[in-house]
Amino acid sequence: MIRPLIAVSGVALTVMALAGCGSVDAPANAEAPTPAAPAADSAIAWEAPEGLEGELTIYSANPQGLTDDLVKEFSDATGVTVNVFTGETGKITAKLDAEWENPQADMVYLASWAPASKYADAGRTLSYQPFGYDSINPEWIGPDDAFIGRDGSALALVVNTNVTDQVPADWADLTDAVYKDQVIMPDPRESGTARDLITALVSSQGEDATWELFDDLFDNGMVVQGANGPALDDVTAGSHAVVLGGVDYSAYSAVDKGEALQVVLPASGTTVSPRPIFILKDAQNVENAKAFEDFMFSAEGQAISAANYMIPSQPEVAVADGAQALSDITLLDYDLDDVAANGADVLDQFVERYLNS
Amino acid sequence: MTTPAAPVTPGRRRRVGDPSLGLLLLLLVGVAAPLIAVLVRAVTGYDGQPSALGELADPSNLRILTNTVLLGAMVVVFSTLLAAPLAFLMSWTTMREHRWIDVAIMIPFMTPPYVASLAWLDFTRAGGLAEQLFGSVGRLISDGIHTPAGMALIMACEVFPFLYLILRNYLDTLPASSDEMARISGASAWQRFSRILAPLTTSSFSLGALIVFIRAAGEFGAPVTIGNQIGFPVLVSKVYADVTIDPLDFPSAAAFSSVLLALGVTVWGAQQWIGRKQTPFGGRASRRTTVSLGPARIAGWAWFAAVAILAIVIPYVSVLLGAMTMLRSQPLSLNNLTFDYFGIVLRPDGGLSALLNSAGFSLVSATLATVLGVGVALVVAKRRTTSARAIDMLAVAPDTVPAIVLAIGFIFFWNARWMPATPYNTGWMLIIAYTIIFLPMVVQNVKSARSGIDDRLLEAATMSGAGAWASFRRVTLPLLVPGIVSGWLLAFLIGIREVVLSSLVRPASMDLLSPWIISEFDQGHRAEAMAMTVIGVAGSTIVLVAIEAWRRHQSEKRFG
Repeated sequence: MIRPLIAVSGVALTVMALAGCGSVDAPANAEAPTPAAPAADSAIAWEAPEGLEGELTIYSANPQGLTDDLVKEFSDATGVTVNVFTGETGKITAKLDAEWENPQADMVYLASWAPASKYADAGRTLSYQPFGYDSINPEWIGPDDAFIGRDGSALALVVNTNVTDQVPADWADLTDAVYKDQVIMPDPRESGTARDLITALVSSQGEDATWELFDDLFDNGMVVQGANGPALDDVTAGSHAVVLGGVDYSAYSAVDKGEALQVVLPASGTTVSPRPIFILKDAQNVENAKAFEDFMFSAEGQAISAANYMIPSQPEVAVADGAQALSDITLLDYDLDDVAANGADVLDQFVERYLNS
Repeated sequence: MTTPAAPVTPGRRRRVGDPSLGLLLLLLVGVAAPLIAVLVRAVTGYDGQPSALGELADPSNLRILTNTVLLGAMVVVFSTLLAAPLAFLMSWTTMREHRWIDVAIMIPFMTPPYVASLAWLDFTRAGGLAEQLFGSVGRLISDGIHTPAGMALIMACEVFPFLYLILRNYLDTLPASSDEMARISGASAWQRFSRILAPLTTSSFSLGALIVFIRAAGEFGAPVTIGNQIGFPVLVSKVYADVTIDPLDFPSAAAFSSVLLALGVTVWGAQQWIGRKQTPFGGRASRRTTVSLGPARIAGWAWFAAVAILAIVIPYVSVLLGAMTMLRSQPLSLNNLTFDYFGIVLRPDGGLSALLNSAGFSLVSATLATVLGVGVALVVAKRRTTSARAIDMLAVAPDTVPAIVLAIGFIFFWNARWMPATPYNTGWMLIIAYTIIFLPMVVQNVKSARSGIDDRLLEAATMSGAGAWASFRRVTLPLLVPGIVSGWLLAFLIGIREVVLSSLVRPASMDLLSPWIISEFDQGHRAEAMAMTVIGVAGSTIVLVAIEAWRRHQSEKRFG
């Protein structure tokens, strides 16, 4: 009888003591900043089409918050019921592939170019030129309009300014003694963007220069570990100082929350991964799917992406405060389709050289 | 001297003829069909990709297979070390008066494995808690975790409660007279252990060890995240890479999953052979054994403390701190801690619907799995016919292949064009999927309980005039209750934390707990994810405490 009483009073006292500590401002933490309203005379301002009804099924490999915001605004405006299925890219593609003989999805919104390219090659996508097609960044349009990148994310150097006050300017700076044992890179076997970065470097600088760079980086104690999220968390928590190839939107989101991070876009160039959307050829709700795709490329849809720290594919829509616009980002010299095709080989070489110790 | 009558009851065999066929059909449709649907792709190829059988012959695969078997064996050893002493202490000694220990031991099982791995990685990272608290010893711990044995230890911490429950329930049924007779005859403690306790528990232990092994062989979390880092590839790493990383290769994944299935069936066969002998206790009413430890009691408490630190304290310090930290990059201080996240995640537009959905589906599926499991256990008990063996194997098969392969199998089978009516894309698909993956653990628990019932009790009932239903309801069922309750509980807890099937097979727009938590991690909302984990575990603990209280009540009625 006594012991439970003591236990409960102990817990109550602890709770009261801790209640005196910090508290969270809900808006800063939970939701992304509200999207900017488009200019009144914008050519790509959206008008919700009349007379739409029924359902739409979308599979999305993008952050839940972004997908939810897009779906909510579209479905409130048109009255279409949108069935959303979200997950990581791997699970989405596994489910799509397993369902190919009897597809359940109408449209798919992925986070990387290569899988979309594969589906287009297999003839599974519907070619469509959405609303606002003429002003979309032409690099992000797939062959025959089979799939189009509607927003993108850049890879950057993400620095924890509590751990180090030396901010690097380029990939090669990380071979400096100042960053010994302070650099982490996401594992390209788990992170598609890390793999794309290595392939793009090979394409841009040639194999020898790229392997020489990585030789120096590994000699300087670079660690390769985890998917994008865990690698960024590792640096945020302070175990390492810099993420080589950190995804920008996660970092911007953390910076806005108040974390001591700084995002640096490398001077010699980096990769920007467009995030494609496409309609399935056998979709059951093609009209609704086309309407949703139109919304996604309109100023309103693009503004939602920008508010979630993505880079819009419509140049007239501005990025979030603190983020870098596409025109300000130096790109490496690479071609998206080549990177998709050569990725597996480059990965095998990288793993054999550095990860099979 | 009369010759003892042979304990044959042909009447009972006749009674269970029909249910066995129905059960077999159910399991064929529920388990075999999806498995075949996906594994056949290894031979036939899929979607333009060729058959992958040739890949299996690659010599590097032998190393992967050896690694998998080694990992499974290590997990069994560690789980036994963790579970067996505790089961003994909590069943045969006065430590069983401390009921909260039963609840505490289940906490590692309630924790989603990916959260436990993250918590361990957080504890052992450079500059993490291990280093801060223990200095250089902390680094040793970190290095120790990043080895195959360390990985096996973390995996054992998650699964040992299952072995504990099976062993404890079985030890509860061992009559005191067997141990007391040995003591009176002058046997030493070691002799009583090696000649009485160990042989008697072999059969139950083998049931539990079977599941522990195949789960370890097919488990995704730690072997892939830590295994990749330390260069210890196992079969599951290959399967997951083939299924989730571009370029997808289903035939190769199917081929390696077939190897896993073959491994599971081999181990199942070994277990059938080990557990073939039944030991009758004489059918008299039995008392529960009590062994007094004397000064060795300290060792018992020390063991429990060690297990608790390893399996509960270390991960949960990480999880709780993570749930309360506002800014990850700032040092630990009261200003950086808050309880607000617990409130934030329980908002209706937050994770509340995910939590309630998961709880509801797990409840229904656990009950369904338990009913099915009791049927299976009764049908296969002490029978060696082909259909009984087939049912037994099918009941264990869902655990042998990685969950993602099973999920793909469900999609292939239930989403096939030729299916006239299908539950796919509805809540029923999720219930079917959950029931199938709960089945192995539930069946093992009930089978172990069934093996503790002496057939003479049932013979006595029949001789006294009880029909089949009366004898089941008043003799078998009450005696099976500990196994049924443990099985239901394990099933419910798995359902709450299950991630793969919940991600792939759920109907669109339905939130479930583990996918929600993972999605929060992916978006960088670490505190929210950890807070929801704590809430999920707290909710599960409440259910556990309620059920434990009821079980104790029943157990006291039976054993006095």
